[in-house]
Amino acid sequence: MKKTIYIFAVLGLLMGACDKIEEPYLEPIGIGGDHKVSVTVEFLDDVAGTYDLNVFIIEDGIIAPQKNDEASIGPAPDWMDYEHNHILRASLTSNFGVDLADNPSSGTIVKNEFSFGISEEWVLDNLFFLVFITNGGDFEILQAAEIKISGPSAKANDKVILLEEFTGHTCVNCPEATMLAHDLKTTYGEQLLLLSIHAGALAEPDDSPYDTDFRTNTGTAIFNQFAPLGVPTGMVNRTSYDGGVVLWKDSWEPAVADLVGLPQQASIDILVELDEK
Amino acid sequence: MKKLIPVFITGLFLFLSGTAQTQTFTDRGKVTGSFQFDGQYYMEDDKLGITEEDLDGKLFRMNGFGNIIYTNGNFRAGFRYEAYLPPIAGYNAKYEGHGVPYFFAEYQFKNIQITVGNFYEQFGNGLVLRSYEEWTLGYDNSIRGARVKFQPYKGIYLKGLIGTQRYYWEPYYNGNRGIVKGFDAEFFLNDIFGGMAESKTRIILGGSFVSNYERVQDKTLVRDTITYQYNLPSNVAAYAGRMRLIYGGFQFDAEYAYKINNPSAMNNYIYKNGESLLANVSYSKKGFGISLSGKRIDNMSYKSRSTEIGEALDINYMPPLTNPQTYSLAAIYPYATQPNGEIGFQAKVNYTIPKRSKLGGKYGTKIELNYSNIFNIDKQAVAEGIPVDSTGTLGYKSDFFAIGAPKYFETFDIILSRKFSKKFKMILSYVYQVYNIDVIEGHAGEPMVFAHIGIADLTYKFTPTKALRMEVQSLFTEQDRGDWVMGLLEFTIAPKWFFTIYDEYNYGNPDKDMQLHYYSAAMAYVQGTSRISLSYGRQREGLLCVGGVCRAVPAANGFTITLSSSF
Repeated sequence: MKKTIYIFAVLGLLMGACDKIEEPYLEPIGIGGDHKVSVTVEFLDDVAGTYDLNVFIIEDGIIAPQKNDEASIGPAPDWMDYEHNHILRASLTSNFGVDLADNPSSGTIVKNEFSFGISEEWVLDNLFFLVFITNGGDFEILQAAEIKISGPSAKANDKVILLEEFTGHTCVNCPEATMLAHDLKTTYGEQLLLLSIHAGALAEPDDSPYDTDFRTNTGTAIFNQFAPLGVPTGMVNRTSYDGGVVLWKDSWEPAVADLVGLPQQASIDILVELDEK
Repeated sequence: MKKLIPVFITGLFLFLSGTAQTQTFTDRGKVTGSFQFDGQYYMEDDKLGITEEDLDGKLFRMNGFGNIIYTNGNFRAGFRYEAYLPPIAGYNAKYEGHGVPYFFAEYQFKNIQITVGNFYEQFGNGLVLRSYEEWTLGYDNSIRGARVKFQPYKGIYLKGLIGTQRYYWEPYYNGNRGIVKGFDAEFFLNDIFGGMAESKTRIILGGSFVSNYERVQDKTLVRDTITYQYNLPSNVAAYAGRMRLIYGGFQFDAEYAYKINNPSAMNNYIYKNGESLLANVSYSKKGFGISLSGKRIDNMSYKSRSTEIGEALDINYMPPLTNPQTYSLAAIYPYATQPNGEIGFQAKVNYTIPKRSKLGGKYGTKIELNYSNIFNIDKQAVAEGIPVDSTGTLGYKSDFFAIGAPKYFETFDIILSRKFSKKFKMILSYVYQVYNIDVIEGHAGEPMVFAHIGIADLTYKFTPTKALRMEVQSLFTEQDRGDWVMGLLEFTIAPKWFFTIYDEYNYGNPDKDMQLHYYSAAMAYVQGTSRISLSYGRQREGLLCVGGVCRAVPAANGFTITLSSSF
């Protein structure tokens, strides 16, 4: 009899997984500040499903060491003055976006406004807004856009594709993959945008000089969601190609080629208002 | 997992055929099964507004299943094949397809029973856990995983389980729904304590604990241009305690359940805990029974996926406090349980006026009375300026015993059944219903429906095998679709043939074009455990509910064929 009660109690505890949430239930995310960005999305097609809006800040031209195995493209094994581009810095819209529209039809226009601040560690002139629309179910990207935060607003009249690269500064094969992404950008121009996500073991800060932390909560969440087998890997519009969403670098080019030229289903208009004080 | 199913079945068959050689094993082995095929052929109907476009070429639709169970001593295994090609109108379109959604193997070793694969289970009244299957609703939330039942001591029953729930044909992967764990204990005190064995009072106590683990979803809200992230729980637990007390003809049952914060799409992501209380007291003796029940449900939707708003993935179940209505016009306004909150009462009385008494007649007369009244629970704002049910807040405060507004449902039924002679039997019913169509069917802004329904059901037996049954029903209401009248004739040649014709006529519909006849003719043939039925007619749009769980039935016109068999 006593034994039974013990078994009951132990089992109860084992299963007792129970998370009591205390206030605040809602926590502000993104980065507080007085600058404003407004994003206007117009759907150009009837598309089924729910859609989310993602607004990221990314930074170009960060000089920091990168491990490298491929001497033909740069210094190996330590590339000390490596230029890191398209680095994810922050998300104004949590990890997987904010609600944008349910089953939007052609002509549906949704405007969202966000406030943001700029960290002292970032260089304003190298900052960009990367905005993209994802499907609420499978995260597939419908359209992407990018503007320079300090520059004028621009609007693309094509389907724009996003190549997200999982990388790390102690990943010796990554510079070669990044170079390939860069070459693709040269080929496809405004129809392709790049994003570098430092996440996983090879992005962890290490002994100097690899003590920089390029990781972000959002980057890690995306990494965990899609769970790549390793780096360098990438996702082209988070669309499945040849049975997988996360692709080794050799599949990037054909995956991009598959999507280029498909009809544009939404347009994204980004307007930044910097607080001049 | 998909690949595992065929392997499992092949394995099962190999196992069966392999052991067919060994005589002692097969001597005890037994295979049972059941089969059903429901097919509908749809036709256009201008009056019902069904066009070629609505039918979309899917003129024939079918739901079917085959259940095979092998039993051999302490071992049992089985599977169910299901096909929806495509699913009959009104069933969830996600069912389209076919396969084996259910398979299991079970072994009983002394006082331990182990089940792997799919299983159905219920803890107590189901307030914290019930997995079941209801074919007519297209409802199936079976759990796939493992279950252990253990009886460590006389009168003590323990159950533990872990698994994931069925979601149409979607396999479980990578946290696409929660993992449900549960534990239940039941104590029959009279069996446990020798001193109570002979006691007139019998007491049964029980307790359950359930926890659902779900990978935290990313959920945000933009308010005043600031984006907020919801702080969501990964583990949502619920527990319940229950008792049953029996003393002679008296019985008292009560169960209380509690659920911790479970913000979900069902409750608009509020953080309030959930509660549920169910109590029933009844007394019965020969020819007389009375039962009083009370129920309070407060924020008790509990699903293994927090974003699900459909009827799928329910972990728990809340029993209804209304009588199921079998007559068609009385079933036009059925009550659907409101998991976000309801408080209700029910009283039932059965009385048989004794045989050969002045009022009772030669065979006695049965009287059944039933009254139910169900309201929203009381909901008060958590703080000034925050509306009730605001997302990302506690939601509301509620006084446990207070009755809130609006009223959801009220019904009063009286049923008289009397057999006049060996040949003639009559059932008369009157049903009064108050139905909140706005809440129950989601027809925003429509007024409360007040309906009076009268039903006469007469059966005349010409010979011991030939009988004619007639139903006349009438529904009166000023609201919704107005008045209805219905007539039915059913001729039976027992035990093989059934012929039915009926017509429901919505003569009071405020829309003159919708004053339609919903006529139907059907016949059925029964041979042993097999039955085939064929019908042609119109089907009226409405809700079909079983145990407070409902699905919408669309209007249709066409042929229906049903085939069922078991062995």
